[in-house]
Amino acid sequence: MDLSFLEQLLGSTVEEEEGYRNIWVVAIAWEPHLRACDLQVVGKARNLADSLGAYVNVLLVGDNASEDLARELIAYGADAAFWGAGYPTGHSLLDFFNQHKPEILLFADAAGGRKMAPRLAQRLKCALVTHATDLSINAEERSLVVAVPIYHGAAYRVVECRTNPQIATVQQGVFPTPEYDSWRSGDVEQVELEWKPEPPLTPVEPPAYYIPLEKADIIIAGGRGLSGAGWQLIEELAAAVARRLPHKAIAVAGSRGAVDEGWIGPEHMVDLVGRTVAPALYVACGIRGTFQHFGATEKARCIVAINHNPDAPIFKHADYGIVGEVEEVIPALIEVLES
Amino acid sequence: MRIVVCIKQILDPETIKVSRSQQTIDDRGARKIMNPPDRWALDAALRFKEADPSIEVIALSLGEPDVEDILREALALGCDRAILLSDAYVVKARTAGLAQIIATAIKRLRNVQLVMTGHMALDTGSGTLGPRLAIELGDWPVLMDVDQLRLEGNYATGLQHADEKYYHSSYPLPAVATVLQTPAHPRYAHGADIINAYRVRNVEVWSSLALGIDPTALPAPTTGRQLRIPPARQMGFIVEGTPQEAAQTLIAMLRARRVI
Repeated sequence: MDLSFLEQLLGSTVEEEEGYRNIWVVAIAWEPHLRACDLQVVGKARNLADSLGAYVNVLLVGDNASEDLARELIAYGADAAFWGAGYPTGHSLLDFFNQHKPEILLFADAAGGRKMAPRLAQRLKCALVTHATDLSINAEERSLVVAVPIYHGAAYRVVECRTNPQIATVQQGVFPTPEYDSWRSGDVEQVELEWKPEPPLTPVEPPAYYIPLEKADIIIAGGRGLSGAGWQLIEELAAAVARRLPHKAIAVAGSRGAVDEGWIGPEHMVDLVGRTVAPALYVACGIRGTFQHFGATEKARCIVAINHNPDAPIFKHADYGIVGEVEEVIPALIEVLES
Repeated sequence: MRIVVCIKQILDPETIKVSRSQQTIDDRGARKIMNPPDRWALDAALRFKEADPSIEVIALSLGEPDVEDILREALALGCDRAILLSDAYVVKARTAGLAQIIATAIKRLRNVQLVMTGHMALDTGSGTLGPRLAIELGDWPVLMDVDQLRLEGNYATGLQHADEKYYHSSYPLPAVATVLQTPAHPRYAHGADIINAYRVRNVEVWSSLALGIDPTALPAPTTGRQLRIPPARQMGFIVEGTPQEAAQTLIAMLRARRVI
């Protein structure tokens, strides 16, 4: 661009800024459809791009990448979609982004991005912000401002990226999936990168101990306070809820105390070093509540606590609490559910 | 063959206090522990050593001199050697620079076939050290978030957890593996081994000078950090009455909120 007229206006030399523009998102198509987490990142990138005055470009890779999926990405908010079927080698990905010079580069914090983003960042000798739960733009510096949870959400650290490009991985489920707008138009282009041979991944049955607690709608959890009542009360309550709500996924879990007592296997342990859960309803029976337990259940929509000790810390974190002996309250709950 | 396990010292999340009025994290009384996921990685490495005594397990950490404590713990658990990378420049390194320093130390060790670490640090960890190291070591393959890691001949195999599914994956050695928790409880050290780890055995301390790293050439970390403390979860509603009454009220409330 000829900027001489600007120099005359401003009375000083204006240099054309080199490269580094636009927001890029890397999406991965393992399956014949797009992943919700990638779409969420595209949607957020759209917002950021509007405030920056930039374009959103998406690079779609993976076995099932196709022109149709690339067109879908346009409909979800991208301005241009580049696609190639396969998994690019690190070097060709580096060359691709060195050529296109993104200002901001985003990945979903899911399989693929979790590995690709740090490898690319290391090749660029660049910082990378992972698990972002909030993204915004500092308009003065044109820099990306990212909030990252530390100590499992006890606090957030706000980091401002000053590198080129600014790379971040975005946590799943924190931004809404954008609307599908079939009227949007944009360029779709096939790219030729250097492809890796088939990744040595073969799907297998999950190990026997793996129960997706993360997927349960309702979790009934027990703790050490059940010592008098017996663990079967928890199972009975879960069964009663299951009979009442046959279409919901119901799981049984335990606190660290219950696991230490041997009532339930460690694979069902809800704890920061066990499983982190986000059900619609979490019922904590006889769980006093520790820091790790709160961290692991923080994302639950509704927490019900049943404990005999009115001073138990769990009540401070629960939406509803019943102070009473577990062996009296649970049968009463079962009775109400059955009636 | 040598296995290097990278371990990190973190502040025990249980012992830190979040001060909402001051908008800070109070870590004055915090206990320093070995990052639990790194302990699982160490445990897995020591199981390889039990199966094949010719394997040498080396624990590696980086930081202030007091990181020595977790390295002594690693020695007590059964590691052959413990190495601490520590000097005024090294402790300031972050992300890209950190991976460069650790990779230089690993290259110095020679005949390292497997580098293991936990899937992330439970304090402020980003979970990127594994893949970053792999690049610095010369594009080694990475087994991310792997469960049931095994060594089979010249291959490292395991179950990789990706998008709610499990995949069996197998990569040729040398490789980097970031380890998920397994149901087995990690081992504890014997008392005598702990005493030996402090009295008899040594933690080797390596500086950037010894490694031949120019600390001024390391990449700069991200800047501009501030802390934001989320509001506390509101104290809930205590349902009063006899167990029967409370149960009825609770179920009615949950129905009204459309939770059940």
